[in-house]
Amino acid sequence: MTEPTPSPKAFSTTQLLLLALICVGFAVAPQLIVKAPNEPTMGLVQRIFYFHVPCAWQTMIGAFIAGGASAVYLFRGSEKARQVAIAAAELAVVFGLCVLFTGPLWARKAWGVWWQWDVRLTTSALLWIIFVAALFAERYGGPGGPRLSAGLMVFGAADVPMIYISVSLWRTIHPKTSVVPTLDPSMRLALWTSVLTFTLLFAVLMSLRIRLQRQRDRLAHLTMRAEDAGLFDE
Amino acid sequence: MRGFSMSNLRSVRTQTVQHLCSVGVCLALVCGLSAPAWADLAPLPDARRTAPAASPAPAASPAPQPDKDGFVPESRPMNGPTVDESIPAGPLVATAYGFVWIAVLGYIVHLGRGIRRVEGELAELEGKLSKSLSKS
Repeated sequence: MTEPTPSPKAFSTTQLLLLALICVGFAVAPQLIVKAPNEPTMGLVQRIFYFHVPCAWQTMIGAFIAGGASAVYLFRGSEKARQVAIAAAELAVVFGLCVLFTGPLWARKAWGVWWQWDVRLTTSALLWIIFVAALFAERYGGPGGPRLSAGLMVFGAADVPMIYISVSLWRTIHPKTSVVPTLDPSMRLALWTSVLTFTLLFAVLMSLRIRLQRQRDRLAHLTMRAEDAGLFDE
Repeated sequence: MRGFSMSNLRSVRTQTVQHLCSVGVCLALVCGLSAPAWADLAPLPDARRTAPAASPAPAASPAPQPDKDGFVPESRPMNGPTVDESIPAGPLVATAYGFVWIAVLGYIVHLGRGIRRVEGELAELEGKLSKSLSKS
């Protein structure tokens, strides 16, 4: 087993550049969101859209990466793939939580209810639960935990296309995916700025989380070595 | 243990914590800078009541026809009388945005603590291992 060497710097130049862009994005996005026109049927509450949708996309990206990396881990046993999968799954859970929290707030005003057992909402909740279960399996599943977790992540990633096409396949009260291409230009600019900023944030958090996972694995490896050397017998 | 010394680890840990603190400060600063924008966004719940009675009705321009699948921009001014506010939208929007900020910042803090703790434990173990190796 090769020992990962920590990077000599806390942040690489690329990460610092991305962080600067993220700060600019989060400073500019609110201005654009405020300048975007109100939507006539929903009014002010529709502005949740500008954070809700980017979070949903990051959830899906995280789930896809986690599923793909888990498949690589299952078939090739690559530890790096496992680290990537865990990092992506954790981010999918964080952004998924944002989606599942902001969505009902929007629904309360737009639909009059906090929650509907609509296909889009149900499959999104299911995705989040699957990835939470996968992270629990990874952490507390014992020796077989990583493989069980990887299997769950592959299963969860299969839910992503289902979520995306659900609004087109079934009757649903959730806005369709065709909303985005037909947006007013000022609405579109606000949305894409938010999406870009959240995507950059996802990239930076992902790289930091992978690094943490590598350090954890290295710590586990060194602990085993120390136990073998009888270091803890004293 | 190639290229992996305790002092190196400590400096990396210190740098990481410093950078994560600076990220947190930057994000807090960005929140603060964008605060005026959010203040502008706050709804005016009494706008309808405080509007002058004799104020002219909005121009009789054709109302935007919302596409059944899409969002259509409203033609009326933003802070004027808008849609029915029986359920106030302002607190819902503020809660949604606030939650996302708290979740992201909370996750950054969680990551920073995790990295600091793991790198601290690694440094300690490295020290013990190198001592035991030098003894033997």
